[in-house]
Amino acid sequence: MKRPPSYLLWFVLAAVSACSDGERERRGLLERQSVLVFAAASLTACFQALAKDFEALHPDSKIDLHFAGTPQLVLQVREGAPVDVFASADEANMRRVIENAKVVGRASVFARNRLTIVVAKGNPKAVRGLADLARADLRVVLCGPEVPAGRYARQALEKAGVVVRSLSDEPSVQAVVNKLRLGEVDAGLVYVTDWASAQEDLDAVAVAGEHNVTAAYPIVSLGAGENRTGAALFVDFVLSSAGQALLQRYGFSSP
Amino acid sequence: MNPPRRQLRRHGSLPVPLLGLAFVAAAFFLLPLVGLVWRAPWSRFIDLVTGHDVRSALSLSLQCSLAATLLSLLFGLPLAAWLALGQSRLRTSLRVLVTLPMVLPPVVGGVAMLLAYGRNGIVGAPVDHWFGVALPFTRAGVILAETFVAMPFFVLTVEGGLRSLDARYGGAAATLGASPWRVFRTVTLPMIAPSLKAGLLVAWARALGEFGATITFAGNLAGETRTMPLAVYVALETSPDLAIVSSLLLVVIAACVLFLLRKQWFPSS
Amino acid sequence: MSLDVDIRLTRGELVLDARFQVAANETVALLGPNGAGKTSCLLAIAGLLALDGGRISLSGRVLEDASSGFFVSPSARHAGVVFQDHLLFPRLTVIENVAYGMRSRGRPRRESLELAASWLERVGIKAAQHRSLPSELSGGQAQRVALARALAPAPLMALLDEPLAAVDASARVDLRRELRAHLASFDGPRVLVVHDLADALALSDRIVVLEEGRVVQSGSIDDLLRAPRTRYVADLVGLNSFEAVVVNGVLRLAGEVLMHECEVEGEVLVAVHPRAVALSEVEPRGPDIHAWRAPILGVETALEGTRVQVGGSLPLVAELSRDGTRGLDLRPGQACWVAIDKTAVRVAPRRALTRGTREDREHL
Repeated sequence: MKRPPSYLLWFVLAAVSACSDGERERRGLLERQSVLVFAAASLTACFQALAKDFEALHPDSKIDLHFAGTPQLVLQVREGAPVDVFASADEANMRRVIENAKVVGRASVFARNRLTIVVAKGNPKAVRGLADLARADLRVVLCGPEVPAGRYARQALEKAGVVVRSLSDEPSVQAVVNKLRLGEVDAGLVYVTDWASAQEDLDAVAVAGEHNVTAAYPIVSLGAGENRTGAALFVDFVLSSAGQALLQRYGFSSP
Repeated sequence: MNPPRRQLRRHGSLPVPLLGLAFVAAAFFLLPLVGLVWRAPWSRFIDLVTGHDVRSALSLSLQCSLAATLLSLLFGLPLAAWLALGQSRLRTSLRVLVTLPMVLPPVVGGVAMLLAYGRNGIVGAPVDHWFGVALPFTRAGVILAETFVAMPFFVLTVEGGLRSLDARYGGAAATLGASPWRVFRTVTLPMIAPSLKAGLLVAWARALGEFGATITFAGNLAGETRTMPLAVYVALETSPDLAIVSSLLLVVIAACVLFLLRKQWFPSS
Repeated sequence: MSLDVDIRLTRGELVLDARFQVAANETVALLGPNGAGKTSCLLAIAGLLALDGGRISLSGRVLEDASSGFFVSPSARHAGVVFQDHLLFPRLTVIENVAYGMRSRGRPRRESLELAASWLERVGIKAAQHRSLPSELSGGQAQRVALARALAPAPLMALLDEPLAAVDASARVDLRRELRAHLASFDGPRVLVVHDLADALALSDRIVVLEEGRVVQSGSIDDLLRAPRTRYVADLVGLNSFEAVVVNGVLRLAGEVLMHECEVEGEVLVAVHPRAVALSEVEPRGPDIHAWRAPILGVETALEGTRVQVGGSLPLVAELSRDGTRGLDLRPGQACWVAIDKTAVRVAPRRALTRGTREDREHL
């Protein structure tokens, strides 16, 4: 089936984002090459830092970041968004991108993440591990199975042989963290990195190593974009030791 | 004999530029629907639509939106009457308060509802403590979230109807010995029937399409709190075809209801 | 059983301060220019407008007393009100409208509908129309239904606001006659707001004239004709009128002495019937004749004769019989002698209104 041209929409979106970019206006005539990066929502904080460092290294380049749940990004890539770089939260979604869009080079894993149980500060319900999540007195939420974090969580629970009734299939790890912060639920399963940014409000209970699942974050540069040089430079930067060091500061582990 | 002139007369006195803009507006609504129809996987339509998930989401959506509409009627009508006919000085602030959920992003509304009716909420905490009843992640939570978002539409529509009502009719009924309650029941209500119906319709439509407040307040659990819009959202990430089909189904059902009710609800057309 | 009314209230521009009585079996017509407060009076009696001062009582039973704050709600006043524009409930059928008052007072549905049907028959609404909606009725029919609705619950007083206003001229005569019969068969006090003298004459026993919120005159049509107290009343009954002042029994009009031994002192209204005005080419003479020259402004031929409008310092209308116009040049702009018969002049104490009094005085 022939798809309707959606580049017009992206043109409009790009124009709007360019208009609101005050920094570019300040720089006047110096036209910078921009790189459009689509990244999984769980990468928000560290990719913002990565983009800042990258722009400091390459003053003539500009990174435009767009964050959303990975499946939504895949949908947008499929619908023809002119993306230069795509960073996924799992390899399954990366495969769907590779199947549906033109990629340049190969996808490489740039970071790994692990799951942790998050509970209210002080762990009032005394959760000790995955097995406790099956307790009847515990209100637990997970991400939906369509979200990578939700799929990993189910894999981990399966490995541990624990059956958990999730009160809700939350649309993102952020939603799980928020429900915990509001005290609506007693425990949830999220990435270590998500807990790292919510440490003041929440405590973590480690998932036993043999049950834990490692999430691999692959990155690839896409042919749909207009700035292949910039895209390649950015991917290289993420994989470089400087990029890796920064990722570790945010709780990710190196591939 | 003269088709263009006949055409012109049929359109009455609507000037051509307005007609043009009206056409643009109609097309603006129509084209996204055309897009859905165009991209729908028609060969698999029946299979997808009759799937268990779609059926349970749909029945949940219909039940909850209907319940939310009834709640809006039960509590919104007295509120609208108070806003329109009451003497209290609080009315202006109250009207602003009622309008707020309309401007509030529904997700924010959902968070605010958690703060009030959640397990640790202002009202939710004591209720949970004394009665062991918690609304989030329940069907009642869905109904509440939908009511929160839909009721303002009902209240403001009905208030408008009440305001345009000729108050002298109430006086006439009073001189005939009618109590305020009888006046409201036998004179006021029948006279505002058109805006009452319109309000119910708008509230129902709004409740049926509610997403943000529901997913935030009531969560997203298949068969329990996953209404049609939530199911569409989930499907968007796993099976876009299913998402399109589900959306179309929702649109078709709403259109059918509007069409069936057209005589009662839009008497002039 | 009489209705005693003392209404003081302010409603926008209107400052209402009216006192009058209506005896049982009496129909009082409230007459007055637009905005005089007639409808407000009626609504206040019905309890739909609260008093700022004064009191209303019906056969000794106080309905409202502003000084003590006592207030009987409209639903407990038992007033049969016919409203302007009828205000028939648009979503109820004709018969349900008429049965409404009885149902409100707790009568069983069946009985109420039977009574309503008999009332509708009485006011001449065919059975075929009992199930119609008010919007399907003509003005006259709506009027009849409104009357039936007001009187069916057997109220203690009848209050009718412009009952014939929404009725076209052809139906008016019939309706006026019917209304008169219905009012006559109702034995409580009846108050009728009208702005047409013919309606007032046909339907009422007494006329209460309201101007700017005050009762300026009250009495039979003969009382009004004999001694109108304001220019509005004089106009209403078709008299020429002039505002004047009597000092020591001397009445001057336009600077000239009209009378020497006037019985009333101070501000007066001088009224002259148009028939008592004569026009002539030569100066008329006589002991009771007061004459002056004035230009003719306009001429209007009516069935009864010719009405001539005269200008000058005492503008008035003369009504001449066909014989009376003989030999006169009545073209506008021509001057002629105007004579009034002093014995036909009526002088009454003028009822001063709150506004305009001073200006009127300065005119003279």
